[in-house]
Amino acid sequence: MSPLLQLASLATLILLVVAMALALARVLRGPSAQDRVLALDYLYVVAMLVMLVLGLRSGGTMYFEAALIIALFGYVSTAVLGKFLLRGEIIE
Amino acid sequence: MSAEVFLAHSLTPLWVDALVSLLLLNGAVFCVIGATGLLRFPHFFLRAHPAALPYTMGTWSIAAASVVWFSATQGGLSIQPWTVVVLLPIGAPVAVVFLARAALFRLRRAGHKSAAAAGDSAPVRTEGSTSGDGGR
Repeated sequence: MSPLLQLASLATLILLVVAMALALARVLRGPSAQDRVLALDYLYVVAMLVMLVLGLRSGGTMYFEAALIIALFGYVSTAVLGKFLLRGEIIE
Repeated sequence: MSAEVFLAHSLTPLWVDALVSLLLLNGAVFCVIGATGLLRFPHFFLRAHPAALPYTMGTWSIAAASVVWFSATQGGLSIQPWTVVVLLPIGAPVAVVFLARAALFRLRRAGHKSAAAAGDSAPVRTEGSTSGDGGR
């Protein structure tokens, strides 16, 4: 891996961590529950992108399966939490 | 194995490195822009918009960078990273629609006037049904 790509992928990882920190601030601060769920979904997607960049840096193709699983779990958890926000209050 | 991989990596032409770097940084910058919007927009229905940035441009750019990089280093077209891009747009709109309906429901319960009007008119206009809650 050339020094240019080494530097660029490191900068990419740092920027992604900054994005995760901003989303985490919204998770902690969000006034309502749906804000927190939305920011958690954002965290999931950015973590999946971090996984892709780590796979590119290390040269292993095993990271793609992990990224795929994170994407699937992120979708399922967001859909289920949204469903809970709807249903949980209907039942009460 | 590892020496062979290292040798293959050192043999990539400059334009491959430049293209992969550009795509990676593009995706990361879009993610940061989306997170900034997520933090700064005033209410939930505005915040749902920048949340789509990493789903679209962020994932496209970084997966394209992976495709270019592994195609250049491993010989032949390696299209494996693109499966994430195929999978994500199927799930993301469904999840966000669930969340938006939940937010509308909670706002109406809290007595928000414009949310109540939107919730009453939206199902009639889109589906032609008579149920105000939309059934979902």
